[in-house]
Amino acid sequence: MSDLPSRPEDAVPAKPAGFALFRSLRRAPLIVQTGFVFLTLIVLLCLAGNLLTPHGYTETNLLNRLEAPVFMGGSSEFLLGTDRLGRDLLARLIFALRVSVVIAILGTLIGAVLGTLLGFLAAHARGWAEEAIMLMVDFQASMPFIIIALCLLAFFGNSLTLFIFIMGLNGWEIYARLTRGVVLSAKAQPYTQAVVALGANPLRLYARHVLPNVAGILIVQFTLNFPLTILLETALSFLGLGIQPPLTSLGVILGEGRDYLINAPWISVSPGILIFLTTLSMSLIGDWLRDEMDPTLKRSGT
Amino acid sequence: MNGRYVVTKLLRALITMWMVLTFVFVVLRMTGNPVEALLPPDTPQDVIDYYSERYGFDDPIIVQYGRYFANILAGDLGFSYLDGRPVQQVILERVPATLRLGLTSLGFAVLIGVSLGIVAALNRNRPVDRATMAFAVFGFAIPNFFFGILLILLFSLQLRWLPSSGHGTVAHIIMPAATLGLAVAGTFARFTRSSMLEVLNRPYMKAAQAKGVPYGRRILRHALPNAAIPLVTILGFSLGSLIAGSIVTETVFAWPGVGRLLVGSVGNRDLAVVQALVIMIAFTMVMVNMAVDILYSVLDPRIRLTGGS
Repeated sequence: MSDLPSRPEDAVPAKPAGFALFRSLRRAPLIVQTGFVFLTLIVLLCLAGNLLTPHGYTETNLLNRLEAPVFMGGSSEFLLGTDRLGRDLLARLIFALRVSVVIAILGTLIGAVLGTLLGFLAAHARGWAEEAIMLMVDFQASMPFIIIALCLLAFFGNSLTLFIFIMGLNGWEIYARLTRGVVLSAKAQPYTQAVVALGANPLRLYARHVLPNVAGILIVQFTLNFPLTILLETALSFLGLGIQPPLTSLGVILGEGRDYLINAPWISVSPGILIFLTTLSMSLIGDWLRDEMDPTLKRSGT
Repeated sequence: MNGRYVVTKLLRALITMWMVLTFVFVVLRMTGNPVEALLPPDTPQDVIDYYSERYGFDDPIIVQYGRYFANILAGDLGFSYLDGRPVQQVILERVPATLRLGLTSLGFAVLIGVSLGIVAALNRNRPVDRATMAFAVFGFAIPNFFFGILLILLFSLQLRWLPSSGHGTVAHIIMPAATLGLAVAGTFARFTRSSMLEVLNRPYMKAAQAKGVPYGRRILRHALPNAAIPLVTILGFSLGSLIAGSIVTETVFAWPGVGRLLVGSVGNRDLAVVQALVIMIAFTMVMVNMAVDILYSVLDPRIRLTGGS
């Protein structure tokens, strides 16, 4: 990370993981570094974006409806313009960005925990439990997830809790498959057999000895899954089937802007750019991390 | 053709289908009385009771489960509560539009993606290659609903070249097909490139060169057919991507297809239609994936001999 202090090389052993990442980031392709810069900007926008505008995200201003952004001839009062109710678009975008990012983080976390636990369970139990879990994995992988999501939303009716839960279901099967594979191969390694011989119970074996070894792969998967979750959330919200007003998300604003493409195209374009930059930078970083952790790819030079 | 391989694939497809049907059955019953969910929200209690009895929702769950399968096998999927017509009829009239858009997008994606991939592989690490890979990443990361809106802004509102919605003429299908095909084109470009790179280094390519086969013929007749085999597997993946994408794309461009029907039905909670659509989409996915697996084993004998993992 670019905000880590740059210390002399001999201080490396103190914080090996973070520092190694920082050092390899300096050697990373320009595009990946750009991705990190974008991501830092988006995090800053999430944390402190409301300092950029004096307006609240629900504050209506009916005299200033559909005002243009300042760089398209609008006033400096509303930097990115206003929407159909005269609400400050910048304030709304920052709030929506927070909602989208928090939901994506929650969803990705739920999926990661659920998938990893099931993966461990499958590798530990073997037999019919493993068969059942892998059957569920196959089932989920065989359908586009948005169909499953729409089915659940239709049957249960939309609510925020259900929506976050659905985001969590997105991608759990990849964690489960990865974890199961890695745990099975770890169980065949001498070190796990040694730990078992020393009397460790399974829980200790998995938590203390196997998990640290699969953590890297899971973290990479997390960075790859995060942008997919954002895309799913914004797509469903765009269709009007995700986040519901008065709450808002980047997809909701984009969908609202569709009706004003002629008079106020900025309402749709600005959340679109934010979604695109967020997903693009996360995907670039995720791809790069995956390649960094896979020595076979580095050697062949692709 | 190895019979056992086909039977295994067929069994897998059947199991997946059974899981989808069971999933729909279980989820719908988890919501409470399915009649209440399947009828409009303001239905009087005596009507609910009448349908509960008539459809047998008072019966034991296992009897309902059996009847549910029997109905689906008989092609009876219930009625849309919006207009009271049989669900099959509501869906089938939407299928041609979706097929037209989906097949156009797939053709567009394969044509653009495979050509770009070949060009990129032949110019490895040169600017053309970099630009192609940038296109692939772009196509994958840009949300399709945003890309569609950008196209409308540019070609409908600024240049006034293309209509922003509707269907019927060639001009109507260009933007939806581009929106829907973009991500798939990117995927094809990426896989064609890596597949071509692998093939280009094979000894038989050297042999062809040593024999004096001309460059163009070497690429098109020796390299491409071998590189194309793994691309067959991408077809199955593309189908999922196209189905998921058509839900959004059809809504953006007001395309009268199955995707827009699904969005509308979920919004209106027209559950009989949603249930039937999920089942039909799953069936299509399972069938195509099975066909792709079998086709792959026909094209590449190594798969069916080793069992294909």
